[in-house]
Amino acid sequence: MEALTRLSRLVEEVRTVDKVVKVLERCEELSVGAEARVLRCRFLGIDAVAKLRLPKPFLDPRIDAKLRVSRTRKEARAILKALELGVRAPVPLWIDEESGLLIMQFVEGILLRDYVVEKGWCDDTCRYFEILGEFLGKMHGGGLVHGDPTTSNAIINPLGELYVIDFGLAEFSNALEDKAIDVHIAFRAIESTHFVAEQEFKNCFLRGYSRTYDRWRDVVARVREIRTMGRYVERRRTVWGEDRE
Amino acid sequence: MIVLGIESTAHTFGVGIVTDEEERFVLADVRVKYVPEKGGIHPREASRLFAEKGPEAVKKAFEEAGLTIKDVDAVAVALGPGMGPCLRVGATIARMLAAYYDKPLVPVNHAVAHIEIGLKVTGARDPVVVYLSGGNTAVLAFVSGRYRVFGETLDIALGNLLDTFAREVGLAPPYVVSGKHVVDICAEKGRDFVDLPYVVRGQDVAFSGLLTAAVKMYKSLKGREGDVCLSLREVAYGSVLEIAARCLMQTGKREVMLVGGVAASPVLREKLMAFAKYYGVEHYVVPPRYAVDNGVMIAWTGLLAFKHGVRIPVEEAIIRQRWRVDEVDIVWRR
Ligand SMILES: Nc1ncnc2c1ncn2[C@@H]1O[C@H](COP(=O)(O)OP(=O)(O)OP(=O)(O)O)[C@@H](O)[C@H]1O
Ligand SMILES: Nc1ncnc2c1ncn2[C@@H]1O[C@H](COP(=O)(O)OP(=O)(O)O)[C@@H](O)[C@H]1O
Ligand SMILES: [Mg+2]
Repeated sequence: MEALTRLSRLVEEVRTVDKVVKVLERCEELSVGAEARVLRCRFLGIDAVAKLRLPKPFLDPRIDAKLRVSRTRKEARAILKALELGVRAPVPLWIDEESGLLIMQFVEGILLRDYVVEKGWCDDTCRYFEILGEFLGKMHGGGLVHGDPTTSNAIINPLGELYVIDFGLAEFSNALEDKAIDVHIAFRAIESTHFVAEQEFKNCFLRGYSRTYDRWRDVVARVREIRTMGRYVERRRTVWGEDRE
Repeated sequence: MIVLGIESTAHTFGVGIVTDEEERFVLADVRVKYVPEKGGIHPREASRLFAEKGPEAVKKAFEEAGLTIKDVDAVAVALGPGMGPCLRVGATIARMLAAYYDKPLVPVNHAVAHIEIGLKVTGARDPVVVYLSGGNTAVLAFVSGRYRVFGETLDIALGNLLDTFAREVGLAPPYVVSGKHVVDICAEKGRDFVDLPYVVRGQDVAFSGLLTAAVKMYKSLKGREGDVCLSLREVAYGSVLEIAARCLMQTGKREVMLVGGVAASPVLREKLMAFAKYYGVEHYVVPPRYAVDNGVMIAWTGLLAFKHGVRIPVEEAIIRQRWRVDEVDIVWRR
């Protein structure tokens, strides 16, 4: 209840969406992220998630408002597209772009990240990376890039099914570059968080990705280039080294 | 314990001497800076300057500290990442000192040194590190014994974005006027917002599209130059803070530390303060003197490493242009 009052106060700060907030019941906070607050509530009797993008004082208010609206809208549209392409994702239920509020299906379960950190390298974890790869391949084949395909944005439900969440940075794009950056992001999440079996996990991921996306070779070649850097400047010194491999 | 450190990865040949005593840990800090006549760094030109002025700089450091090589317990050197010709000068001088005077040689990673000197001078303990300079834009954090990269730029660095924009539209050189970047100064005249691409992808940023759009707009929107500068600055600083926030959330760290040349921006510092308040974390900014390349940071990191048994045989001390920051075991933080 306290969470509900808080949510409604937060929403009011942005814009009043009384009617919806009234039908949100039994809210509890799931996560306060970099970008959004995520609550679990009953919405019209459905087990739902309310994702609310709040204003940030360190951003220019004009950029902030624009991002909030566009990402909320994009998230809903991208989820629908992903579902259409055969990717498991939480079904959107209600949206108020202006206040940055998106209500969607609640996915019960554990984050892929936590699962992998706990279990380490084994057949099961490999299998999930493979499915993540398959899903990303399906999206890429359909002209959708996820924007943040990391293990923190995937949930395994009690039936062992993998769901992809957090489509706020998604884009409708068929550009090789955008797809390569998606894969690059997935790889770097493996490097920064699942370093126990860096290469193995990448291989599992690629096995799935290559199964569902026929241009995977081009993408992987481009990923390698992105990682070599120095594309726009002749010599670039980075934390990875001058010309990164 | 006293350690001498040599930096020569890019445009600065630096010699530092430090101790592990609490007060006055810097005994000497000598810097020779290569300033290209125009454009970017020419590694060979820089290395020529280093080779010419390097030995003298070492001598000067000893004078400053009132010490001789005999008082030094170890010689540390930045073996990478960096530009080959530049690195070679520092490595050669360090190897020579170590071999001739029979001192242990300690290899130091330049990026690790930027972080370690930041921790030392700010008092931060375990922050999310936001490294913003002419050549680097990266968000790092200490996880499982190493500094790992959580986000970075996919194309050009933040400092490079600001500098290139300023040069292309004729605001620079000079790039920095009384402590403020010329883009920050130009932004003071801005009021309205122009539409520029804000690119965050996962935990990464990208600036090259922003640069192109901003230069084009600046040249075409006569009378609204201030608006373009303001928008450029807000988009650039905003996206960097966004990826820093993502790293904070992912790692659960309670501190954030800003390092690198761009950390000198008063506007960015103000934003960092609001940022820290919003996320309920402590914030630290490395003072300009130690935020840019210097020998002290190499000496200090060398000292930490040496105390924990890190050293390298002289014949194995080869430069590593592509030495990744996350390849280094941070043995002194375990
Ligand atoms: N007050 C300021 N506000 C904003 N930017 C600044 C300010 N002062 C310096 N800079 C920027 O900092 C950058 C230089 O930083 P630094 O010397 O740390 O980088 P670098 O040596 O080029 O890169 P690195 O050492 O990471 O390879 C330049 O891009 C410069 O414009
Ligand atoms: N549909 C959902 N079902 C269950 N949990 C969710 C759902 N959406 C988000 N979450 C939880 O909230 C967290 C943050 O949500 P996410 O959409 O990833 O936002 P952020 O942009 O803050 O990362 C997730 O890591 C997950 O734990
Ligand atoms: Mg997320």
